[in-house]
Parts: sequence; structure tokens; C-alpha cells
Amino acid sequence: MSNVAINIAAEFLGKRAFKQADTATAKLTKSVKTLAGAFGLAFGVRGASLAVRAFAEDDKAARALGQTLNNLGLAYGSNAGTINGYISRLEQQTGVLDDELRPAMDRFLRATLSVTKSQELLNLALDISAGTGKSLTQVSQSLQKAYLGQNQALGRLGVGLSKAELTSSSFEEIQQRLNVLFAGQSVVAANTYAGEIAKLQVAVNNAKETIGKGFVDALKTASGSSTIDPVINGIGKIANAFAALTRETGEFIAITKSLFDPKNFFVMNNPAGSFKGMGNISISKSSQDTQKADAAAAKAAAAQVKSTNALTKSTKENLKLSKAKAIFDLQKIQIEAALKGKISEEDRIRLLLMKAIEDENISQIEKYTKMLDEAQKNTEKLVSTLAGIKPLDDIFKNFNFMSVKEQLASLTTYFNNFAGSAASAFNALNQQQQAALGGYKPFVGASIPSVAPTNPSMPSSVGLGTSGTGNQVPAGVTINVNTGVGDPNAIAEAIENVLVEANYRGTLRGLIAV
Amino acid sequence: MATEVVGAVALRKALKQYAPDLAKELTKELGLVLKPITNEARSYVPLASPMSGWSKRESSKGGRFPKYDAAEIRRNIVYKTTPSKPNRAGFVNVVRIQNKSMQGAIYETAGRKNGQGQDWVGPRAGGASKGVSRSNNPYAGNQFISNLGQLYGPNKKGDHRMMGRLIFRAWAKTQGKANAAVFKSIENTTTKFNRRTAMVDVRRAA
Repeated sequence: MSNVAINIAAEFLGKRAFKQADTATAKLTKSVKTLAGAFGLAFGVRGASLAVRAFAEDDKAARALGQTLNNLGLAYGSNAGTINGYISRLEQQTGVLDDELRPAMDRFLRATLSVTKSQELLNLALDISAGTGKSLTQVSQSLQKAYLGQNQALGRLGVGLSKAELTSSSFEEIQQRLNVLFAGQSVVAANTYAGEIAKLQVAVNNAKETIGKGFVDALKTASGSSTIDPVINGIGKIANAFAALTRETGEFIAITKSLFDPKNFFVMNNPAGSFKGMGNISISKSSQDTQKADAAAAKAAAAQVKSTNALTKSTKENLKLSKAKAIFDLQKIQIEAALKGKISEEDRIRLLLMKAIEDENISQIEKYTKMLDEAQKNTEKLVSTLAGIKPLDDIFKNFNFMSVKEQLASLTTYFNNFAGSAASAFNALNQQQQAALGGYKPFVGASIPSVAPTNPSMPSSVGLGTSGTGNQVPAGVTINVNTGVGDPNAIAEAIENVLVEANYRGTLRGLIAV
Repeated sequence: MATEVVGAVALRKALKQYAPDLAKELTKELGLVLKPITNEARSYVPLASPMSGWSKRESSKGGRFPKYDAAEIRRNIVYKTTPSKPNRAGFVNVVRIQNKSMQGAIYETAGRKNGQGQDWVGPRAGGASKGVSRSNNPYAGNQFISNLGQLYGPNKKGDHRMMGRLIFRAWAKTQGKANAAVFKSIENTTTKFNRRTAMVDVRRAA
């Protein structure tokens, strides 16, 4: 078949697989190199230093675990030895270093307060770690959080549980599900080539720790030191001076002779040689010691729960009682009623203070006392300010007011007189004269503002006379002026109109300018 | 040149497993785009052999150089939407048009590498190189190529891999429209599938 084709869409898959294979090979090579290095170093001076350090770290972790057991009240019988033995066997079976296993166990013990439960969780953590590729530390932290109620921590591990499952399920349900999902992962991982290498590494590490312990013991004996730290610091110097101090170190070599016995390089069980009770427990089944420890821990936990429950109950009852008392407390009722009424700010503060005193609420009492003091100070200040204000003088006391009524009466009198004079003057004319005036009846309402009200007499030349232009009024003509109701403005306006009309007619001259 | 589509193989697997109807739909849509191209490519196959000596005879018993057979060529011009085996570079071809027959490949590509035919060395020349003409006729290669006709497709300098007389000619005629249609179909199906799986997730979460 030919290979003539138009490839329209393609995907790159091949190289990725090669890369994965490369990575796996590289990891394997690194493990082998590390292992080889560890073997080689174990025989050198630096190796000795490393061995001592490894032992120190291991010893520290073991002691920390022991202290945790002490703190939790689980350090009785052969518990410490049992747990250490369990971790040692787990280390050899799974290829996971005790440097990781001990802190994980420690974490679970603190969370569960039960050796059995901790072992269960550690087994599960190992399975999850092998299945997901996450570190044991990370997995154990997440499991610890989940045990304490933070299930979301497990979601981040990518264990195949949905958010809904994590939220709605109890830890037991989740644990059951995880047991199903990751069953046997650690065993499978331990049986792979990489797992075998890891197991070998564990054996070498244990050998290093054993060697380190031998060194430390020997150095302690030789130097009289009681702690490890000065030994670690001084081991470099000792190594440099090793060749020159052959005679002095002869005894040292004699003491550490057993260290170079080949059988000690591959001691896998009982690395420290000081633990008791190792080897009497399997991964899946608890020993009698463990069961006793669990029973005691459970009893202690139950007692604690009982005590807490009793305390909670008592607190709740007290609270209920005080509430019931408050219902029938008349003083409080009165205060509450008063607070609902219309009261001043100061009164309100007083009532609240009283209420706080009734409730024996110290913080509220202090608060309202302070507020009341402030309110009282403000009131005093206001009172003193008001007291300092003088009454206003009667600025109008020297004023001589004429009442409006009096003014109107005066005006009315004036205009009545004026109208009467004008009317009588017109009426005094004969009919011809009146006709000569065109039957004109002027001055219905008039106003002469310039005329002082005190001079009611009409000037003789006002619009009437025998000379000038227009219709002239003969002497003795009476002009009636209708002054209206008495409104000064209306009267003034009427007079003004009359005068204007007289001016237009030409009968007004000389006296009043319009 | 093929365009790389990340996740195309996984999409196909997922479709087959979780949404067989979408898998069928995608195949159908790709067929609608690719079928006309293969049909057109088939139409370019000459009924008779371009050279009399290359034609298939009743008495011919075959040989190393395959005889011209129009039906065979046409039958082997096909399109595929199933992932191929990875090539040496690590690529898996997901959608492709193939000219599978030997005769078809010769007719398609002859003269693509050397427009004048291979260098003539004659039948008596030594060596075992296949890159030279050992024919009696020094112009055999030139005559063969010129009788087959013009090559179609993008004529890039030094790279004639996308030139040909059948499928490449039909492909060049689409001017990239078919290419765009193929990716559009894949994209549409991906969107549909993602929407459907998202709905499943929502239901599961609920």
C-alpha cells in the first residue's frame, strides 16, 4: 500500500510517551545512584557523619512519637514499642521511610486518640499515597483534617470524590469509599521494581541508622559526652584528626569493632535494638496491648465527653432560668415600658443605665454612666448659657403711635367736610349754570395727598372760578366728593382721579400739580 | 501539512464511549466535507492508461511495476476519520484523504521530486541505486512524466509534497475551505460533547 495521503488533522502522541518512559527511567536511575551512593558513603568518613545524623533524626522522630503518646495518655504497657515495631515493619513492607511514617502516625494519634484507628488511617494513607503519587505527608495531613471535619482537604488530593460526596458524607463513609478505591495500592507499588529499590533504600537507611547509633555510643563512651549534638558537631574534626590520633583512637576502634561486622549492615529488624514489643503485631490486627490501650483511651475520651456534656447542660439550664426570671422582673418591665415612651435623650440614657445595672452588665454600666455624665454636663452648660441672656429692652416704649382707627376717623372727617363743601357749591348754582357746566357732576371720590389732614378747608381756587379756560364754576358752587367707605388709599386714589380729570378739563390751575 | 489538534484522539474515544450519537454525527459531517473531494479526485483518473506500455493486458502476469488500472485507482481513493498508527515523528493522523493503490500513487506523484525524470544511467550501469533510470530509453522518465500531465497544488520552492494529479489536485481546488470545514465540525462536536458532559456533572453535583 502506498503512503500518498493528505493529512488534515493530526495529534502528537508519540513523543509524550517517550518522555514519560524517559522520566521513569531517569527516576529509576536516580534511585539506583542514590542507593549506590548510600552504600559507598556508609564506608567513608562523611558516611560516618551521615550515619550519625540519620540515627539522630530517627531517634528524634521516635522520641517525638513517644512524647505524643505520653501527652495523649497512651504511653502505657508496651504501646511505644508496639507502634515503633509496627512502623518498622510497615517501612520494610512498603518501602516508605520511617522518617515519613512516624510524623504521619504522630498526626493520626493526635487526631484520633486511638492506636487502632491511627494504624487504619496510616494504612489508608499509604494506599492513597501509592495510588495518587502524592507524598505520604500530604495525604496524612489531608486525612487528619478530614477526620477532624475538614473533608474538603481530601478533594485537593484528587482521590475521585466529588464535592457533593465530600460535603454530604461522614468521615466513616469517606474512609470506606477510599478503602475501596485504593485497596492494595501500596502492596502493588511495593512489589514493583521501583518499590523493591525503595525497600532496599529503607534497608540501607536502617543500616545507616544502626551504624550511626554504634558511632554515637562509641563516641559517647570515648568522649564522655552525654548528648548527640556535640558529637555531630565534632565528628568532622575527629575524622580529620583520625589518622594522626591512631594510638588514641585504638580504644575507640576496639569499642566500635562490632560496627564493622557485615551482619550489622543489613539489619532490617530492630534497628535501634532498644524497643520492646516489636514483632507481636500485624498491620491489620491489633495486639492485646493495643486493644487495652484503645479501651483505656476510649474510656478516657468517653469520660471527657460526659463531663463536657454535663457542663453544657448546666450552662444551658442557668441561661433558661435567668431568662425565666427576667420575664417576671417588674423593675425590668417598668424600665422597658419607660423606654418605649417619648422621653428625652438623657432620660433614655438613665433608663438604659438602670437596665444595665439590673442585668449586672458591667460593660454596659460603664458605657451608659459615661454617656449620662456627658449628657448632664451638656445640660448644665445650656442652663448657664440661658441664665446669662438679659431680657430685651422695649425699644418702642417712647414711640407715640396714633391708632389706625384715629387716623381713619380724622381722614373721614376731612373728606366729609371737603365733599360737603364741593357739593354745596355745585348745588348752589342755578340750573343754567349747572347746564353750562354740562350737568357735570365732578368729584366722585377725590384725593389730595398734599393737603394736610389738619386743614380740611378747601382752597378757593381749586378747579372752580370765573376765569381761565374750560367750563368754569361760578362762585358759590358746591362740589360733593364721594369719599367711599373710608379706605385711605381708595380715598386718595379717588381724589387724585378727580384732580386729574379737572386738570384735563382745564378747571384746575395753579394750586396742585398733577 | 496536517494541523495538530490536541485531544482529537481522546475526543474520538470519549465520543464512542459516552456519546455514540455524536460520534456518528461527526463522522457524517466529516463525510459531507470529504466525500466530494474524493469523488472529484476519482474523476481525474484517466480511463485509459496515459502510456500504452503501462496498460493492463489480459495476458499480463504482473511484475514489479504495477500496471495501470483505472478502476483500482478509483476504488482506492478514500477518506478516513479513524486515528492512524503514530508515524516516526509521533503524530497520529485523525482525518485524512488517501490514494492507497500503487498505480494511483505513481500517477499522483510521478515527477514531483524530479520534473525531468531520474538521471539516466542505462541498463548496464553498476550499483544498486534506485534513484537512477536504468531504462534502455534515455528519455523514458521524461516521456512518462510529460504524458501523465501537469502536477497541481502549492508549488513551494524545494517542497512539492503537497502537489499531485488526483487527491492533491482536488484538495487544491477547495482552496482551504474543506480544511476549515473539517475543523469546524470537530470543534462543534467538541462543544456539544463538553456541554453534555457539563450537564451530567451538574446533575451529579445536584
